[in-house]
Amino acid sequence: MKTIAIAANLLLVVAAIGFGNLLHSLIPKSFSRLDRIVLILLGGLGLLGTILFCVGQVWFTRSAVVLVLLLGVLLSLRPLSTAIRDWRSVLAELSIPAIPAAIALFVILLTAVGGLALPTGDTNDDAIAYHYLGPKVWLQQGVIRPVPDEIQTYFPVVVEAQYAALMSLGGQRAPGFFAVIGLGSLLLTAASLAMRMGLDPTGAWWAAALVAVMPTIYRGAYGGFLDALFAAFVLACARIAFDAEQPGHFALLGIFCAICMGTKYTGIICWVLLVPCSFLVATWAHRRGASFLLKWLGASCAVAIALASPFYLRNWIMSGTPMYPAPPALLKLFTPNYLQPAAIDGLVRAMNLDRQGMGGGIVNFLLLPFHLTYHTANFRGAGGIGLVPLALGPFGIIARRRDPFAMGLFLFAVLQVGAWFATAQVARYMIHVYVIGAIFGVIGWSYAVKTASRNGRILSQAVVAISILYGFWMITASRIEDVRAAISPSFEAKRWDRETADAASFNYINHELSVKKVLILNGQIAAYFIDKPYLKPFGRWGEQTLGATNLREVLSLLPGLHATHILDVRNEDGNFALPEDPSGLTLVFEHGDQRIYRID
Amino acid sequence: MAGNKEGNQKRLKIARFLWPLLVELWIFVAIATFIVVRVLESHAAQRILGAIKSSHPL
Repeated sequence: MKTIAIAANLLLVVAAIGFGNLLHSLIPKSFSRLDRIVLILLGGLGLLGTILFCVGQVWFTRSAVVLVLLLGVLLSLRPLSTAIRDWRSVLAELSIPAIPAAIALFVILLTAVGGLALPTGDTNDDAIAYHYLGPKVWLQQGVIRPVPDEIQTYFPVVVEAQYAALMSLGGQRAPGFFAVIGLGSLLLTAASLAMRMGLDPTGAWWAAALVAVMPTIYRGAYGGFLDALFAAFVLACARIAFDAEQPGHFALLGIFCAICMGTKYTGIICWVLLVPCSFLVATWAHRRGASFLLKWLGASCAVAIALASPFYLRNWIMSGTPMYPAPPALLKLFTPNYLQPAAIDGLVRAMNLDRQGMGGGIVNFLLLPFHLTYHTANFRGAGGIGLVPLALGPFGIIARRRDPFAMGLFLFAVLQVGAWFATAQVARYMIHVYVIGAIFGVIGWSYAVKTASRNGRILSQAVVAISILYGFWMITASRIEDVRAAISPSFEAKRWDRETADAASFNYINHELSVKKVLILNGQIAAYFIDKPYLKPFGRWGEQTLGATNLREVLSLLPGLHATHILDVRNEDGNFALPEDPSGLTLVFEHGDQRIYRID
Repeated sequence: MAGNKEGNQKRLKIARFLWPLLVELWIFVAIATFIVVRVLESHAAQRILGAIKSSHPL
C-alpha cells in the first residue's frame, strides 16, 4: 500500500508538470531555469486541481481521475524528455552547499517517511474533519459536492481535489505523502525568490533550509494541511507580479491569482493586495505607464476571476452565495438558500475563539514580530518561526532598501500581515510572510557579516544555528510517532486504536458485511473513518442535513433513509442520544461509550 | 564647508563604530530573549530544571 501511495503521488506530479507546461510560453524570458521549474510545477498543480474539480462536477470516479491524469502525463512527455536530455547541464549548473542541503533533505526525508503513516485523530483535526472527508465522500458518491454535514467542505478545493485523486489511486496514505510535494514546492519557491532578491545559490539553499526548519511552516505542510502549498502559490504570484512587463506575463499573474483563490478563501485577500502593490512598484520604480498597467492588470484580474469562478459559481448555484459560509458583507448582496443561523454562529464563534491571537490594537500590531517569535503558542504556532526573521531580517530589509522588487515584496508582506492581524491570527495562515522573512534573514546575515565585527559574524551564525537546532527539535518531536507508525505495522495498529476516537465502531462498521449505510447520531464523530455511505443529521457546527431539528424527527424519517445501522456514542453530557432498548432497533455492538444498532 | 566636513565625519563615525555595535546588540538581545523565553521557559526545560532543583535541595 505504501508503494502504491508513492506511485500515485509520482503520477500526480508528472501529470501536474504536463499541465503546468501549458504555461511555459507565458513565463517571462528573464526568468531563470529554477523559476521556470517552480512556476511549471505550481501552475500544473493548480490547473490539475481546477480541472479535477470541473470534471468532478459531473463525473468523479477512478476512471475520471485516471483519464485526467493520463492527459497530464501525455502533455508532460515532451518537457520531461527534454529535461532528461538536459540533466547533465542542469546538474553542472547546480552548486550544492553541504550543510543547508543536508538540512533540507533531512526534513524532506522525515516528511516522506512520516507521510506514509495512516491518518489518525478526530474532528478537532482539520484534515480529518474536512480536508480528507470531502475527497472520501466525493469518491463514494462519484461526484464532487459539498458534504452537507460539514460546512467547511464548501471551501475552495484545488488541493483537496488532488487528495481525492490520490486517495482513488493510492489509498488513504497517499494524501499524507503529498506533503513531500507541498513542502518541496515551497522550498523550491523560496530558493527561486531568494535568488531573485540577489542571493547566490548558497544563500538560496540557506533560505530554503531555514524555511524547512521553521516549525510553523512545517505544521502547515503535512497531515492534510495545505497552507505551505498555498504559500508557494502566493509567492509565485508575487514573483510574477513584480516582474510582469508584457501582456502574457499579466495573464500568467491572473492564472496564479486564480489558483490562490481556488485553494483558500484568503487567496482573495492576497489577490486584492498584490495587484495594487504590483501597480505601485511598476509605476514608481520602473516608471511604466499607468494606462498600460491599468489595462493589463485589469486583464489579469479578469483572467483570475474567470479561472477561479468554478469554485465560487458552484457555491452560488448550490447555496445562493459564492462564498459559503457567507461573510456579513456578502449577505447584503446574496441570499443564501441553505443558511442555518445556528451552524454559521457556531462556526464563527469557534473561529473567533481560535483566531484572536494576542489581541488587536496598534501596539499589538507593532509588537507582532516579537510576539510571533517568542509567543507563538498564542497564535497556535506549533513551535514558532525561529529567530532568523526577527534577529537578521531587519538588516536584510535595510540592505535591499533600493531594490524595487524587494521593497515591493516587503510592502506586500506588511499589507498581508495587516490583513491577517485584522481577520484571523492563526500562525500557519501567514507562511508566505515567514518565507519572505527567512529570505530577508539570509540577506541580513550576509549584511551583518560584512558590517559588524567578528562578534557580529559569530552572533549571526549563532542565530542561524539556534533556529536550525530549535526547528529540528520541534519538527522531529512532532513527527516521531508518524515515522514510527510508518515503519512498524504493529505500532501503527496500536496507535490507530489509541488516537482514533470511536475506533472500535469504525472497525465494526467497515468490516461487518451487513452494514450498508450508517446513520451517525453524534455531530462530533469523524465520518472520515467510515468506508461506507453514511448519513449525519446534525453536523459538528449544528448543520441540519435532513431537515429534522431533533432526534425524534430523525427517527420518524428512518424508513425513508435506507440506513441499515445507527451509530450512537455518549455525548459530552454523559448520555447516549438513544434511550436504553429503543424500539425497532437491536444493539449489535457495544464498546465503552460506543453503541451500534441494527435497524429492524 | 567646515560644517559639512563635521557632518561627514559624524556620519563616518556612526557607520564605523555605532552602527556595527547596534547590529551586534540587536542580534545579541534577540538571542538572549529567545533562550530565556523559548528555551528556558519551555516545558522540557522546566522539567529538567525542576529535576535538578529536587535532586540538589538548597
